[in-house]
Amino acid sequence: MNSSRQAVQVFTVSLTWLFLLALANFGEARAVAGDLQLQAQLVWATNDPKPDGKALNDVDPKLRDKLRNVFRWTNYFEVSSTNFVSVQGAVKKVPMSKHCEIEVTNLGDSRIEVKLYGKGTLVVTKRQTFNPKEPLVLAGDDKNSTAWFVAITPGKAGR
Amino acid sequence: MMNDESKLRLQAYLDRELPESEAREVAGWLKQEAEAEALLRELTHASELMKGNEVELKLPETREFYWSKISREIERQSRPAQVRRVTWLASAWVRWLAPLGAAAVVATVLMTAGVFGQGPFGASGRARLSHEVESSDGTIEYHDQKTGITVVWVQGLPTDEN
Repeated sequence: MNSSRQAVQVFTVSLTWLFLLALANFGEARAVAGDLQLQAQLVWATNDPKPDGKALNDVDPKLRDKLRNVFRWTNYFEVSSTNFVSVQGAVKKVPMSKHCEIEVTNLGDSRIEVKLYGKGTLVVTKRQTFNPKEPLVLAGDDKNSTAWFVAITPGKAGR
Repeated sequence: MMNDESKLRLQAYLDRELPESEAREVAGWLKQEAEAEALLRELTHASELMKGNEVELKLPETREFYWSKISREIERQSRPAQVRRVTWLASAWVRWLAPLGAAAVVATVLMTAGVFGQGPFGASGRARLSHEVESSDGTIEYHDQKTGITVVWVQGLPTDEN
């Protein structure tokens, strides 16, 4: 009697674990063919050292070197970074800061449309074929001779 | 007392803009006129001060990007005149070559779509784009094939607090 009860308990617990694992996999965002794993980074550029008291990380060296090759600033700091999946045919809103947000639309065939909003106003729209080796960067002046950049690069799973 | 014309001649002498004969005349005049010599010293001093203290203008982009914008704008402005000159020549051939050209384009598209599988350009076509700069509606687009980056620079946007 006891052994049969134990067997039932073990079976029930195993079944519960299997069910939970299946649920976790089902809920996880899966990359389907045509979807794009992307990362959007808000970057701040300056020639001054990192200011004290600001939660800023250094930008990935590859991106930093590419930006340095084009622009005059020497220091590039990551203000925010978001990994997301751009589902084919869907629009994904990605907030970058309290005043800045982007909307990314996956148009299929690796083509994306990125809309940049500043303080709720559409600033720029850019459509292009996404190349994992070439970041798409939207940029502009900031105060005190600094600059801001929104860089779209492959997400961590896509690198 | 020197008149305005004399002062201008003196400035031109300092800038080496006078013909040789006039320059010799002014040099002789300087030896005789203390006032003229004093003015020449003053002008020389002012010129040296300006050269040594010129404010350096820093651009927000590299010189290649900056000059490519200017080059692009010059090309864009000169394009309509070139189109006008060519039009009269091309019009006579349009009836004969246009249908042939269209057929050739369609054939190329179909062939390359079949080879690359993803539209007419594929990987090798993208390699043709290099340092393209375009400007519209307050933005400047810059594609650097060598660095491997596409930048859309937005002009005149209100700044964000970091």
